[in-house]
Amino acid sequence: MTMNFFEHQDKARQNTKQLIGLFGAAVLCIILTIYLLAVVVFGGNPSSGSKAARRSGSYSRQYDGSPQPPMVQSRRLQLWNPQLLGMVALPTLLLIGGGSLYKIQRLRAGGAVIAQEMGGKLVTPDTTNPAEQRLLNVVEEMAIAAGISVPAVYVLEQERGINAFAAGFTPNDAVIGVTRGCLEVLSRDELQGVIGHEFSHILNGDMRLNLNLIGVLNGLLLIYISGRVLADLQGSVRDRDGKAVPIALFGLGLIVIGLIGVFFGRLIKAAVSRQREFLADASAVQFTRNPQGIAGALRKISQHSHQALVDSPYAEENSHMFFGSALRFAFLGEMFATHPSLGQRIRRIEGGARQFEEAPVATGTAIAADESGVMGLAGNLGGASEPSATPATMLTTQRAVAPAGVVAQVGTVNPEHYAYAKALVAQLPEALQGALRSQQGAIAVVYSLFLDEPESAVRQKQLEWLQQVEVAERLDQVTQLSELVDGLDPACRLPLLDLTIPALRQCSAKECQHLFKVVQGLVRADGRWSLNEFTLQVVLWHRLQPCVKTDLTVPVKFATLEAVWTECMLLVSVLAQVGETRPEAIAYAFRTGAFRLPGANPQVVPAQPLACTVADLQKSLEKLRFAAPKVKQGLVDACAHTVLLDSVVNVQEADLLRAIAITLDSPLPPFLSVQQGGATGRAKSGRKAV
Amino acid sequence: MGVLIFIVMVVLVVGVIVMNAYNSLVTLRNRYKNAYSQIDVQLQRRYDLIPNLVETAKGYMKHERETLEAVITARNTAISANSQAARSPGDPAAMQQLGQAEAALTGTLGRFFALSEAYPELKADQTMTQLMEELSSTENRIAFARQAFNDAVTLYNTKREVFPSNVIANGFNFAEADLLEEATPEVRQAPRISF
Repeated sequence: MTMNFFEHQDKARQNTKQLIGLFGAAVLCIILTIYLLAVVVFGGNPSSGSKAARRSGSYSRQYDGSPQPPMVQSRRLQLWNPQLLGMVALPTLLLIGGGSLYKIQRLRAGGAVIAQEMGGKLVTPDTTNPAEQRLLNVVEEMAIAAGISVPAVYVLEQERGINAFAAGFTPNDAVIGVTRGCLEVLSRDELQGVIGHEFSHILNGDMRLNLNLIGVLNGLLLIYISGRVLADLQGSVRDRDGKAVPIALFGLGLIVIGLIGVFFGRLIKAAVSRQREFLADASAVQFTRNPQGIAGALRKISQHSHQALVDSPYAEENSHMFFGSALRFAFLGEMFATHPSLGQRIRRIEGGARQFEEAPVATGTAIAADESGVMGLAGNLGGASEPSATPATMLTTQRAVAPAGVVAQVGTVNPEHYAYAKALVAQLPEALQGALRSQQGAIAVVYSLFLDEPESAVRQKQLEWLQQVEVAERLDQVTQLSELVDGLDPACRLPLLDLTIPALRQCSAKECQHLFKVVQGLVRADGRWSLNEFTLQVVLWHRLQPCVKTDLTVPVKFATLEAVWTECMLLVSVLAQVGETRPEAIAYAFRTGAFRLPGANPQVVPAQPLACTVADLQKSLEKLRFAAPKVKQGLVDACAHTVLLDSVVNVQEADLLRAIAITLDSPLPPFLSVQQGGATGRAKSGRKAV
Repeated sequence: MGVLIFIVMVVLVVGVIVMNAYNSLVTLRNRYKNAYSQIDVQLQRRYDLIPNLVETAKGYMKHERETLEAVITARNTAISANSQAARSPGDPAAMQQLGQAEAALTGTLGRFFALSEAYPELKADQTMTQLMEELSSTENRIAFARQAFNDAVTLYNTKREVFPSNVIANGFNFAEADLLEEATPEVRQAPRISF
């Protein structure tokens, strides 16, 4: 049974809990070992110890011929020494806990921290290097196909091995790092396979787990490091008799104990990371439907002179995040390896590929064909190029997706969406593509997206507002670009906004706040807050969180549906009202969606959809972000059933559904186009106006 | 002392088992009730569509008053059967009654569709085409929802019968739930609508 996105998220959270359990066990082991060591070195509490030893000595002398030698008896007496235990446990806990907490705190700022630590250089969209441009394109296409924000891309300039990693807490703040060797040696298909592998880590919640792992390991490694520092003191500090002070000996002991920490760390890492690699390989094949790509990349690694090695000193603590195993020597071989062997991975990919050819039809969408009047997520965007066509892909292109299949689509990529993303970028006017490369141009594109109908009074007002808050050149740029943006298919507006993100990510927090303020002004120009504006605004705001916030973790605050019931009802109500016009159809759409929520019953579902404003919607969404993955799954399912109830999905409801999914960090692939489903010869009904 | 600890342990273990069984029975019962709500939404949609259908057809099928009235009567019976069933989903009597009422409704609708074949203007009517399409897609959804409901009921019934939860089920009065099935085999498939 394959798991869906939400189940992966749940599992990743459970794994994190297990990880904390393992960590606790490791810390306990270490404390005990240090304690025993301290007992041996100091002979228990130094002051009371000597007295106790004398006493026990006389005690045993009275009963001569006792089976237990006096030494053992004195040891046993001093084995339990709470004072010493406290003296040992407290600093150890402080050291490990402090080390971990410090690292975790630092990592809260997201994956960029790690990329920079490893010596990564951010690839900006205005790069002129063809290899870097190609890399950006591959990442961009896959991000749009998956419906996530385009991750920031870093190149590890110094690394000659073929390797890559992904880091971050949510898909929203993910970064992808690629070694220079990877850029230069791999072909586009192979690069796509590697990036697909990294996207699987992004989408399956592995990254969050990996970051927590790094934090924990940092604490465990710290003992080893401090042991070395103490041992180095041996040369300088000696007592009156010229003997080495126990402290130095203690330091040596710490190194040994530190090695226990390293041992545990590696064990935890290997246990957590290896299975995820197989999953990511399989996902990469599923995303690109091209097993040759990733298999080719793995083969090239095995033949390359530098293999997948990463020389950065941080490679040890980050080794589990990489595409291939980054460390030079394998510690005790297979058992501790963070990655399965290359041969094993290639065999699994190619074995999987054969299975894939034999059974080309995904079972998840099988019911779709039977359900008449269902609109598809998959289809063709007016003249979009077909994906490199095999019979299997052709089949799925024709296949519509039932509402029940939407949840399964969250957090996946398929070649149709990939082809769509490619076609979308290709059909953008040259000038617009150029503007997206620079930060200034991207800002102008964002402004253009928020402008009202051309020649309207509202637009006049909006331009006046821009004049007040922006420089003159920016205004010229907006006027030029807005002509191009106005001419676009409405369905392209949200993806276009996504394309501005890589350039916008270079904004400082202050610049971002300014951008938000100007956009707010543009929205307010007509005195009302429309849903279209809200959709774009909420996506923009959400995507730029990594620039504005320093803490990117999204803790679970609402574990059950009951805790956020009103908010869920509100969301479904809005979607029903956007998609339908007749009151009874709205009520029907609402009820169909609402009753999909687990635990819905007539007592808690209102008969009529709730009336609400855009501000209410925003508040609800903000709260729902902190719901547990299981709750989000139910909600996305309910929303999908409301939207896909009739076979007509208009741009507005599709975009709103995607904006909701994006805010919930449940990336939904784009709705490709409206497709008339079923063989019932339904009257052609056009797309509703936005 | 030892005996006391042993007894306390046994009581604790038994308590946990009872609690788990009870909770999972409640969860499963809620799940099939929720599944019924989904059938209910679609059934109501169907009942709402039928008067419109009949109203539209009336203009064309002047001589088929009887059939049209039969459809409306069958619909009204089904509505009351459904409201009964919605109050206590899974209740054998209610489920059976609803199954029969639905079967009767599907039967009369089938007759109505068969007759409508003879009226080419009715077939060409835009509203009629739309209503028919909507009706058949609603019927498909009913079929899906019913499947989900029956699955949920089966899961619940199995839990009710296996050890140790059967002891709890009997002790706390978790009644057996009934599947929603159509009474007669001839109407197992949705009416064929072909224009």
